Amino acid sequence: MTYPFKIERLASLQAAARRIADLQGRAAILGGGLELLDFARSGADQTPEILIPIRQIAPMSYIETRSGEIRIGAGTSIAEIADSTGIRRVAWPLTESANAVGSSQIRSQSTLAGNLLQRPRCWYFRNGISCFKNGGNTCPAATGDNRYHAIFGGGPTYSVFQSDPGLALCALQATLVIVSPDGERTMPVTDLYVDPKQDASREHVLKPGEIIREIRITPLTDRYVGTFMKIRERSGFDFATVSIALIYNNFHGRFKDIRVYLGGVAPRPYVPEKALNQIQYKKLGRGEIPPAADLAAEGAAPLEHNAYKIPMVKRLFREAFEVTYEKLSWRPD
Amino acid sequence: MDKAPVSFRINGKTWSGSVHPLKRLLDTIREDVGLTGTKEGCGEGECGACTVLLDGSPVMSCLVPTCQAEGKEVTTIEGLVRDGELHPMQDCFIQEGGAQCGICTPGMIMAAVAYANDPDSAEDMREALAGNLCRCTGYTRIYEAVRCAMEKMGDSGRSGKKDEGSRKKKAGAT
Ligand SMILES: Cc1cc2nc3c(=O)[nH]c(=O)nc-3n(C[C@H](O)[C@H](O)[C@H](O)COP(=O)(O)OP(=O)(O)OC[C@H]3O[C@@H](n4cnc5c(N)ncnc54)[C@H](O)[C@@H]3O)c2cc1C
Ligand code: SF4
Ligand code: FES
Ligand code: FES
Repeated sequence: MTYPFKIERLASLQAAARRIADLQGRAAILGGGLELLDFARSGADQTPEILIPIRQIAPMSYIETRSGEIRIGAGTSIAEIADSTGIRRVAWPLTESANAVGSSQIRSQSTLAGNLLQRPRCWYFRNGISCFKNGGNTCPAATGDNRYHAIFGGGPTYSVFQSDPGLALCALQATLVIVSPDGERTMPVTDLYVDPKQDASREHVLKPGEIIREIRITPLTDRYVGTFMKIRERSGFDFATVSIALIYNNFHGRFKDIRVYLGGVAPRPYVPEKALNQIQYKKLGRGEIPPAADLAAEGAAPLEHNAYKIPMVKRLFREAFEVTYEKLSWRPD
Repeated sequence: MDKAPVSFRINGKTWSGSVHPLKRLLDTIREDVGLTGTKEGCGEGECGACTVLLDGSPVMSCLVPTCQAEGKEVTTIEGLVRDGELHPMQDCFIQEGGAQCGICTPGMIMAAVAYANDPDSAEDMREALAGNLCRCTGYTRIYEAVRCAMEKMGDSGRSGKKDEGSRKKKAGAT
């Protein structure tokens, strides 16, 4: 096995950002290395020549509460997130999603930022078959074996969003702190993911030299309920066939501030608008859930082999609302 | 490409050598350190055969670049023996018939030891071993072996619910 990489150690995140920007795609941040070693092995993706281990630049692995926010270092492992009492107390959908990631080994190795930036698990792409994601201009999944592919928002690529923590962070309206060559900025995590119609070759908007430094979450108050749930083929450990992150609150007896995202069904986190609008502001009541769930797959455009996901979406939407409804501190029925 | 000096502790002893920083920890352990107890199954993070402990946390050594081990403590199957005595987990795998062909066994035992040392690290035993595939035993005997070892090791062996915040610092941490 040959190792076409070099490791560089830099003094600061800013310096790393500048170096990566200068090298335009020939250098990258090394988090836990799970993705990068996988690509080096399979040759499915171009691997950068120069890697900069992020945890050796600055303390990147921490979970702290400051200015009323939970702040998580980008290099924090998924296992540490799963284990944090603070996160469990005020951002429990993230805890649930962290526990759903891979196996205990994968959770120990994965960093949060690396997880958010993981590339599609699509079997064509991962096996090095030419497609939009690796410089080609077709999507073999569109007409091939697409049983694990998108039913919403597909075209030209039909890969699906697979980051469990990423889905929970969308529902939590988390903010990313990004270091770039010219300074630091923040960005809602919901803006991180690219519309494949704009650019089918990539999944996120970060440019070379933009480094995620921190993830910030506003704690949920006790008016909120929420959950992360995932359907997978193998019960032990698998990527989501369909997943959901849901958060809402009781506002004077009504469903309010609903944030619902579906994973495993679209190239990026998918908001089932019709279902959401159906139930938003309705008076709290168990009876409101099924009609909304019936609309959860509205607008789906399944491919030849994945229409089975439609009933799964409806069922998961319904289950997530039912489970959280039971947890409301006040409910009429 | 360029090798670089790297140093870590493995099974209680310091090891220093010169390897490419991105060489898989699995290969460094087998080829450079010379401990071949750790096995390769899939090489893609799916099977768990290559599991070792990095600062006490189970990791798939086929997906860990060697540079991530710098300054850390690596424990492999060879490191479980104390004063010539097998670890209770090894004893119980023998006693309960937890191994057949044996290819999954070193990784399975390392994942099981990590769980037995820290039962709060997973919801239950099945979950703790979900990343370790075995195509021979049907798992029942493996679970029996782990239960047996956890009793010997002084834990009741029950599937402890998570006691929050008690998990040790993970390999991902710096
Ligand atoms: C067998 C297996 C099962 C899995 N199951 C699941 C699952 O069930 N659910 C799930 O959500 N995921 C799952 N994963 C995905 C896994 O969680 C990711 O591969 C992992 O999180 C990647 O993290 P890393 O730190 O190793 O990333 P790396 O490989 O280090 O990095 C990934 C990418 O992100 C870039 N990067 C890393 N950190 C930063 C940063 N701070 N700023 C900018 N760029 C950065 C890197 O340059 C690289 O391009 C699974 C993976 C495997 C191998
Ligand atoms: S779905 Fe996406 S990743 Fe898969 S073949 Fe099509 S373009 Fe490539
Ligand atoms: S060989 Fe490492 S997980 Fe299979
Ligand atoms: S004993 Fe053969 S794979 Fe487990």
